[in-house]
Amino acid sequence: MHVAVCVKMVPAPGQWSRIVFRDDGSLQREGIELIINPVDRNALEEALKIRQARGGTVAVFSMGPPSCLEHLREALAMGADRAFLLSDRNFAGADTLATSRALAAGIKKEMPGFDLVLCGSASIDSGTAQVGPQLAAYLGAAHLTEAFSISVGEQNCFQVRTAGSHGYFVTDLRKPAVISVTKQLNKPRIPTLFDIMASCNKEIIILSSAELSLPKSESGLEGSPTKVRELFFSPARRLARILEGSMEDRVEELLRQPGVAGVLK
Amino acid sequence: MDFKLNMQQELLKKTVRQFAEEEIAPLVDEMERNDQTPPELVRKMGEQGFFGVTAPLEYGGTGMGHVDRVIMLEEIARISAAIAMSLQVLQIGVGMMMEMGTSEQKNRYSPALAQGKILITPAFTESSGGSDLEGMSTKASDKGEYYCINGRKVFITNSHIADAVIIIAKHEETKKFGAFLVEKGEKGFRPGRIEKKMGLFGCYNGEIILDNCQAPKENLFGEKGRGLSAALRGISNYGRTGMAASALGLMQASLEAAVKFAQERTLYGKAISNLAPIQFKIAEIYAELEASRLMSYYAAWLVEQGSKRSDTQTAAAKFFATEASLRCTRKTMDIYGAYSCIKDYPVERYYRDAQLLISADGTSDIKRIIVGRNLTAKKN
Ligand SMILES: Cc1cc2nc3c(=O)[nH]c(=O)nc-3n(C[C@H](O)[C@H](O)[C@@H](O)COP(=O)(O)OP(=O)(O)OC[C@H]3O[C@@H](n4cnc5c(N)ncnc54)[C@H](O)[C@@H]3O)c2cc1C
Ligand SMILES: Cc1cc2nc3c(=O)[nH]c(=O)nc-3n(C[C@H](O)[C@H](O)[C@H](O)COP(=O)(O)OP(=O)(O)OC[C@H]3O[C@@H](n4cnc5c(N)ncnc54)[C@H](O)[C@@H]3O)c2cc1C
Repeated sequence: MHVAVCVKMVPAPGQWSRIVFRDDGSLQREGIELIINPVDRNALEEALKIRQARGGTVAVFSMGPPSCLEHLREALAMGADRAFLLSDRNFAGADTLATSRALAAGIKKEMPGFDLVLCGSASIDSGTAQVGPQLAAYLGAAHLTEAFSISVGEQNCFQVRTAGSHGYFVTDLRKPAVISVTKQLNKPRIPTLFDIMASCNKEIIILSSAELSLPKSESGLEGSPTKVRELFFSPARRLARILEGSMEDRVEELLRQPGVAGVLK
Repeated sequence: MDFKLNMQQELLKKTVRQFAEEEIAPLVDEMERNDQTPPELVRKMGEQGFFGVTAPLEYGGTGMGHVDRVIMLEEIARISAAIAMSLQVLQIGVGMMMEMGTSEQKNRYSPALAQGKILITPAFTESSGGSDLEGMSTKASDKGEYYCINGRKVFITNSHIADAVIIIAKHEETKKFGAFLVEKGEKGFRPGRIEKKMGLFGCYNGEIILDNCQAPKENLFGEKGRGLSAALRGISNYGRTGMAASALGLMQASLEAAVKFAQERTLYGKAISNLAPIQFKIAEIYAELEASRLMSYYAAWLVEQGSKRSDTQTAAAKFFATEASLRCTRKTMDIYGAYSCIKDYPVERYYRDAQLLISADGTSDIKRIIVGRNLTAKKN
């Protein structure tokens, strides 16, 4: 079983106040500490479990600047066999479409016979949740999102549980497949000191747009149909209102409140 | 000169921090209440390879070095100095075995020792005074097939979880000191009372009682009659840097707590971080932490290099860093005002724990004596 895992490096939550938005809507993230997008660890953990049960290999793919290298080392320490960093000036400024196009090209080149691609359900920095589905389209693979349980079933199928609004769905997904996963899936392992030592002997391969035969017009900013027009902070405010009247009136009013505030539909 | 941690060390720091935050932090309150080392945590730390950090690969260790050990212990102590203490003393046991054990002994305990499945703790101190090692009265007499050991060791870290101890006792025949490996199951071996300390809750310190205890002949540890030098080597190469690293963790935790509180606590309509005396205290904590960290890394590096100067440097790093941790945790207490004295915040724990680092592994005075003596000794 050959599993590719997509991991995105995102600014560490404690550093968000230091992020600066450039005028063109892009992020200035130099000098900001990065972490592996938390749910991508769950995706990697699941891949490692599948390998443990079924054999095969696990490769990690990430698109980002060279500062992502050390975090890919962490993915190798968790147990991935190989790591690829798609890094090149041409990739800069990619929207989700250009990101998935590049990731798909990387996976096709380095793991052509993949059985499964695992992604996080969404990143914690931009969180569009689009990369997984778009990747599936580029790879021509079956796809599910919000998976909280995956088992490798009979006859080239994955049995996947995904959350629904009043329960969950059980779906058989044929191989090759792309699955976006949630944090409920598992508890990601912490690398041991032995794993850390072993990871230092594993190679991280950097792939450029040329190596993936992606022309400039199809990568990064140029290959991105999305244009950020405006960025603004939407203020989050706490509402405080003291209810008055009889106890019955107040309870009735209180029950009406969440609806009024748009919290409950 | 390159002050950057290498890639492996960065990863080590990050993963040990993650382990400490996810696996140790949730246990701290319980340890503060029951003062017990959680066995499940010991097992997990064993799986992570924490005990064998400096042990070679062929004995089940990770093959990392002493600087790596300081880095990892700091991260553990940042969350729990008690667990760092317990762990670092067990690492002394592993280190002494690797450096001084016979190959037969090493093979007998490997790889379980480096994996934390067998815990060996050093037991030197007696009520006659830890500083006066020669004043020890525990005796070993040669009974042909075994040594018969009688005595009582005090303040022994991990006394009640260790599977074996390294005992220093005087050979009755030669009046010289020997080191002996004594397993918990041996006849005449028993842990005595557990000390009720002011801090480091979750780390056992207690007595080891040897009452006509029989230690097989092959358990003589290190060279016969060279027990004291074995003990001193364990303390010098592992104990002092381990204590210094624990102090770093306490200072780092204090610094973080001080900054956070200073930013959040509002007086006169603004955060107290705007007040110069608060900033001064934070600056002083930072400076002491950084100075201690550089001293400790350098000391560990000298040990790694097998340098003769490591004795002076480890002793200096030990007393400087542990005393600095007491000053820094105290300053953090001051920044917290009355909140420092209540259990809702961890800073009073940091302060109590810091005091226990001062005498452990040799008091500050003794460390000063070592540094002073080494620096003023006439070179020949
Ligand atoms: C302020 C701002 C607004 C933006 N708005 C838009 C927009 O409206 N439309 C648009 O198309 N783009 C937009 N982008 C760009 C886009 O969000 C990211 O740049 C894109 O690379 C990844 O999208 P995501 O983080 O939302 O990924 P998601 O789809 O949320 O990520 C899901 C999973 O995909 C994988 N993944 C995502 N990115 C990578 C990567 N670089 N390497 C490896 N795996 C990855 C991970 O497994 C991740 O968990 C915006 C960026 C910013 C900074
Ligand atoms: C938390 C903790 C853990 C410990 N763990 C262990 C362990 O695992 N194994 C173990 O064997 N021991 C352990 N010890 C004991 C520790 O090694 C001793 O506390 C230490 O060696 C000092 O001995 P003492 O406490 O008997 O003080 P003493 O030796 O009685 O010293 C009393 C005072 O006299 C001073 N003094 C002593 N000699 C001189 C001198 N020549 N000149 C000037 N001043 C002097 C000392 O600095 C001190 O202030 C531990 C102690 C603590 C607190």
